[in-house]
Amino acid sequence: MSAIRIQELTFSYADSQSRQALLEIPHLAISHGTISVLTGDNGCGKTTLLKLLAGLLIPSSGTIDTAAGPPVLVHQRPYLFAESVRANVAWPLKIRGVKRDELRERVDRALAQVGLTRFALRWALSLSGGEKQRVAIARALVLKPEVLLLDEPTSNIDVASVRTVERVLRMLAGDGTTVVMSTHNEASAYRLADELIPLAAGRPAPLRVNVLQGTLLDPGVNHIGRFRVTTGAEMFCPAATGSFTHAVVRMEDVILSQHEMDSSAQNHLPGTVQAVATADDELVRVDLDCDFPLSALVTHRSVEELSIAPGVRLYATFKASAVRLY
Amino acid sequence: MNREAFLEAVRLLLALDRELVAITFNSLRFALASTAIAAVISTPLGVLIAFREFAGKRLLVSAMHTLMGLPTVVVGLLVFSLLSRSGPLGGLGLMFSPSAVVIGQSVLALPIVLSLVYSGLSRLDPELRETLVTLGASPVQRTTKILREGRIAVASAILTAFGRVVGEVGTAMMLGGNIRWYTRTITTAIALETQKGAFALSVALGVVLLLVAFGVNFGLNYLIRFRGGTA
Repeated sequence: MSAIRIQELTFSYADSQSRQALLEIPHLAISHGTISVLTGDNGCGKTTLLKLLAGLLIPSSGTIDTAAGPPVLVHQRPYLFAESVRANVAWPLKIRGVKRDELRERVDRALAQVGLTRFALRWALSLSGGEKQRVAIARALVLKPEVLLLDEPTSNIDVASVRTVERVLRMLAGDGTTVVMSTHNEASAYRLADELIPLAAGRPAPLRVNVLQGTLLDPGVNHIGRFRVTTGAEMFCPAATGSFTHAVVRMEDVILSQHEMDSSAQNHLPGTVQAVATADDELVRVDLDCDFPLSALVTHRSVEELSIAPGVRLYATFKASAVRLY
Repeated sequence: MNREAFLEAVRLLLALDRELVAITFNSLRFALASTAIAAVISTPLGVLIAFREFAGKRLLVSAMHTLMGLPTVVVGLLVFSLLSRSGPLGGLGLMFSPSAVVIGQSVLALPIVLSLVYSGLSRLDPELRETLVTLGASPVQRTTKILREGRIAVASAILTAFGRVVGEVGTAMMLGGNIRWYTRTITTAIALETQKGAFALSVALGVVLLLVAFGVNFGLNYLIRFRGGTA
């Protein structure tokens, strides 16, 4: 079930001289209760898309269906009102005429959700960046929105707050809220995203990384560790200590061969080709099933030489050091 | 001016002379009324101009800034031509009445409040408006909240207008006519009493006017420095 469905969306500012639309998204569906993360360089259209979804900008053409009603947007540098934290969070309910008892209960719950119960009476403008961000999230949460939009929620805040905000967003998605956020914090993107939506120059761009959820099995010896993907398959990765939940392998770093390679790379995984799709003028994306989904980007020439087609069995090879842990 | 006049002025001030008090009261009454009228009209307009984009906005803003420095005698002349017997509103018989003074001073205060509210509010974060929209506020609720967030800018705009109006002499003279016990204000009294050679009352009124101006400025400084606002 989609919480948001975009069809043939384009957007440009009315006074724009350029012929090309600032944003152009032919199709995008965002599933209910998931976290979708918009990634891409500054100026690629992430914020514009979020404002369109929030109804703060009107599409030049095309449609955006938000089945559940208008989503609430939390800005990159949230504007907090010059009053207490509690008054900030209560305001959206106050203007809706919510009764005092219910208001108090909902404000308390929202503050608890973002871990700011003890900050309720503090002056909002005196808080740190991370705390302000959490107040803004609580101020959106009191409305119990079905869809919550966040522009760069983890980019202007300290490391401890990043983890708190990530935990809050995870919990919300677990409770059925659909979260759409933008970030250029890669770690946040990989840890949080159920769906990565890369944008480049206002258009959807191909995904170029494999993001695998799982657990780090042991800290490793001789600089090599082991990571178990949720499907049960294992791969070698750099030695590391800490709680990592995601392994990321760039598709360009995956080598395909007909026979198992005798090389210095630690990971040699047999797999079956599931799909072959042209990524751009130079590269083809090959999706494999290696007991977990793994994709590689190879040249058209390699596809011909190895006769790559759905159903073909191949070996995927990549170095342990090509695996990044998050 | 001689020593006796100065001593007489001090006596008038200390004794709270009845005429001195009445004139001061008139001045404050006219200035308060006209500033209030200007504030009620200009403040919502200022919000609208600050947060809406429309064709001709730049022209309007520079016109507003120009009108801030409107010469008082020009406003006097303008309102005079409307209210005088032969003018379009002559039938109301408002000429040389407190109402005429208040109308003239309102015209004077209007662009000041409008211009300063606009520039104060347009310095607020542009994301304020989007935040209010995304949280589901109605247009009226948005305006109220914006004014609350920009309350220091609005208060300084109103104080500045009051300061200008209470110290102006042109419109009060032309429209009020300096009628004793009726439309005589601090400024018109000073202008005419001095000409007549009655220095004592002029000096005493001058001191009062200075105190009012000082009070307004003190209020402005307090707002800007201690409440973190911008004028």
